[in-house]
Amino acid sequence: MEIKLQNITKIFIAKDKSETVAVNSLDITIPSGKLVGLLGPSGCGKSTTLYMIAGLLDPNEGRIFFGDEDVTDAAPEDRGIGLVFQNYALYPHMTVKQNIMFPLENIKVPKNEALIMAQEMADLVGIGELMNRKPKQLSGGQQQRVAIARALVKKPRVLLLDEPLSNLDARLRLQTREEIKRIQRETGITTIFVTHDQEEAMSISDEIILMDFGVKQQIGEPQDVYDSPDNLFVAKFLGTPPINIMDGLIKSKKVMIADGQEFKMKTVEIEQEVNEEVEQTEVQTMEVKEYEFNVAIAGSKAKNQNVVVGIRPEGYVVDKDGPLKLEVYMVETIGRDTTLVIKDPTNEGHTFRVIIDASHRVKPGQKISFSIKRDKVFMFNKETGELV
Amino acid sequence: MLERQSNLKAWFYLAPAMALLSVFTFYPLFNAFFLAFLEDYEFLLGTASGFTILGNFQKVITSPNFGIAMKNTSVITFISVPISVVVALLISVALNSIKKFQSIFQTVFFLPYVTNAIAIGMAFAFIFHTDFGLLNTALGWVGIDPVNWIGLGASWETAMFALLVYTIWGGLAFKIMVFLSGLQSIDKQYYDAARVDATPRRRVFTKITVPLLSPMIAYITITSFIGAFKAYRTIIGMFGTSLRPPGTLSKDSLITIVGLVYDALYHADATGKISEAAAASIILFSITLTFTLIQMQINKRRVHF
Repeated sequence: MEIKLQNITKIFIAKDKSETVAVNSLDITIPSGKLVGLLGPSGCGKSTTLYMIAGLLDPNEGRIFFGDEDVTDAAPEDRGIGLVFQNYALYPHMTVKQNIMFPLENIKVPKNEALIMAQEMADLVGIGELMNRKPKQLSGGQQQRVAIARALVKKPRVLLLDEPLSNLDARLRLQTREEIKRIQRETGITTIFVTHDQEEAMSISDEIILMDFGVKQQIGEPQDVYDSPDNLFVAKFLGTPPINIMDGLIKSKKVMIADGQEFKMKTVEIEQEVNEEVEQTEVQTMEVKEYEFNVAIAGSKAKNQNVVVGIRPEGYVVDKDGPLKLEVYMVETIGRDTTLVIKDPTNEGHTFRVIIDASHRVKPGQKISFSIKRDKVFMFNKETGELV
Repeated sequence: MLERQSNLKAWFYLAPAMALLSVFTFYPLFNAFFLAFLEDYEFLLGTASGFTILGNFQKVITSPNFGIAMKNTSVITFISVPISVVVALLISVALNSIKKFQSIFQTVFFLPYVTNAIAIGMAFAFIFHTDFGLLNTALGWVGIDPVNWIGLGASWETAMFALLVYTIWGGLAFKIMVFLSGLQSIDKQYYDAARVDATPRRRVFTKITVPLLSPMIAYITITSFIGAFKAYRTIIGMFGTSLRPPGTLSKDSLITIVGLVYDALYHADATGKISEAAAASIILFSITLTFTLIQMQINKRRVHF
C-alpha cells in the first residue's frame, strides 16, 4: 500500500492562542511494502505526521492517500492501520492473549478463529509461549512484541510504530530492531516508524525521511542520504560520531578553513585548483597536495563565498605528507578502530572526532598529518545550509 | 545513631496528633468495649454491679427497634450504595468526555459535598412536600396525583424512597470527584489504541475504563458501604429527631443502628443505657468489619494491578 502525503500542514493552537506549525507543507510518498524510518530531532513533527497518517490527528491542510484512496477524512478505525505506541499501551488488566485478541473481538471475529489468528501472530513475533501472562510480567522487549502482534493481528494495510525502541535498553534495542525488520519482511506490510535515533533509522530502513521544524529535509535510501546530504542539517544529523563542521571560505577557486577569525592563505589546508575546462561541464578537479579527487559541484555556486565545510570523521586518512596537521587531544579505543578527539583549530574550546584505523598507535599530544578523502567533504552555503 | 535520631524526631512531630487521637479516638474506642460488658452501669455515679458478657447485647437485640433498625440500615446500604456508585461512574465518564465547561460542571457536581447535610435534608424535605413540593408539582404536569411522600402519616415505603433519593444524591459528589481524578490519570493512549482498533464505545467502557478504574471503584465501594452502615445524619436532616414522618407509628420509623446508639444515649442517665449504646455500636462495628473483609476478599480477585 503506497502512502502519499500531499501538502500536509498541521498547526497546533495553544491555550494562549499562539500557533505552532508542527508540520509544514509536507509532501512525501512512501513506497509499498517498504520499511520507512521517519527521522528527526524531537519536536520536528515526525510523531505528528505519524498520528496524522493514523488518523488520530487531522491535518489543517493537505490530503493523505493510501494507494488511490483518499483517507484524509476517514476515521482511524476505517483506515486499516496497526499502530504501536511508544509505551505500547497494552491493557494492563488483560493477558497477552486477551490483548492480541482484543482488536479481533471488536470486529466480531468468531472466537476459535480469533484464537488461531492470535496464536499465529504471537508465534510470528516470538511470544507464543507467553500467552497467559499479564503485560507486567513481561520484559520491555516482550511487551513491544505483544504490541506489534496486537497491531498486526487484524491484518492492517499499514503498520505504524512510534519510537518503537526508545523504551528498551541498548542490548534489547539491537535485538528488537532486527526483529522489527524480520517481521516486516515476513509480512511484507508497508511500515513507517518514527525515531530520533539516526543509527536506528539507518540500520533497518529501506528508506529514511528526514524532518526538521516540520519540513521534509531529505528522503532516500540511508546510504544515499548519508553519502550525499542535501543540506547541512542532514549532514549533521546522520552519522556517529557526527560530521566535523568548520567555517570555510571559497576564494580564488580554493577552499580554505578558517583559523580563528581570520582567513589566512598560510593556513590553507585544502586547496582547490579548478581546471577551467572541466568547470564548464560542472565537474572540477580538486587537488590537495598529492591527493586527488573529483568534485561535482555547480560551477556558478562555487564562486567566492563563505561556506561551512563538513568533513566526515572517517574521511581523514593518516598520511605523513597530508595537508592537515592536527594535535591529538584524547584517544578513544574500542578495538575495531580508534577515535581521536581533536581540538578544533578553527574554533577554540570545541573538539571533533576522527576515526582512524586501529593499526595506528596514537598517543595524546601527538601531532598527526591527515589527508582528506574527497567524497567525505561537503561544502554548504553559510546562510541557507544548502550543499554547494 | 542517625536512624535513632530521626525516629525520635518522627515521634516528636506525631505527638500532638497522637495526644488528640488518644483522648478523643483511642480511649473512647477501648472504653466502648469496656462499657459494653458492664452490668447496670450508672453513668452519673460511675458505678456498676459487675460484668456481663452478653447481657447488654441481648437488651439491644431484643428491643423492638432493633429489627426495624437492621431492616432500615440494610435497605439504605444495599440500595443506595450500588446505585450511587453506578450513577457516579456514569456521570464522571460523561463529565470527563466533555471539553467545554468541564470545570463548571465539576464544581456544580461537587457542591453537595461542601453543603451541610442537614441543610440539604431540609431542602429535600421541601422537594418532597405534599402540597408545595417540586416533585409533586412535576408529577402534576404529567397528570399524577400528589403523593404523600413524607408528610403527615406517610407510609414507610414513600418515606424510605425519599430518603434513598436524598442519600444517593448526597453521596454522588465525593464519588464523582474520586472517579474523575481516576479517569484523568488513565493514559490517553489506551483510548487511542482502542480507537485505532475500532472498539465500540460500550466495550471501551466495560473493557478498558472500568477495569482501569477498578482500584478507585473498590475504594469508593468499601468506604460507601461503611458510610451507609453509619447512616443517621441524613434521616435527622429529613425527618428530625423523631426519625419518622409525623403521625406514623414507631414500626414505620426510619431508625438505623446508629439511631439505636443515639436513642440509648438520650437516656444516658437511666441505668445501663450507656452500656446498651456501647453494645449497639460494637454490633455496628462487627457488621461493618465483616462486610469490609468480605469486600476486600472479592477485590483481591476482581481489582487489577
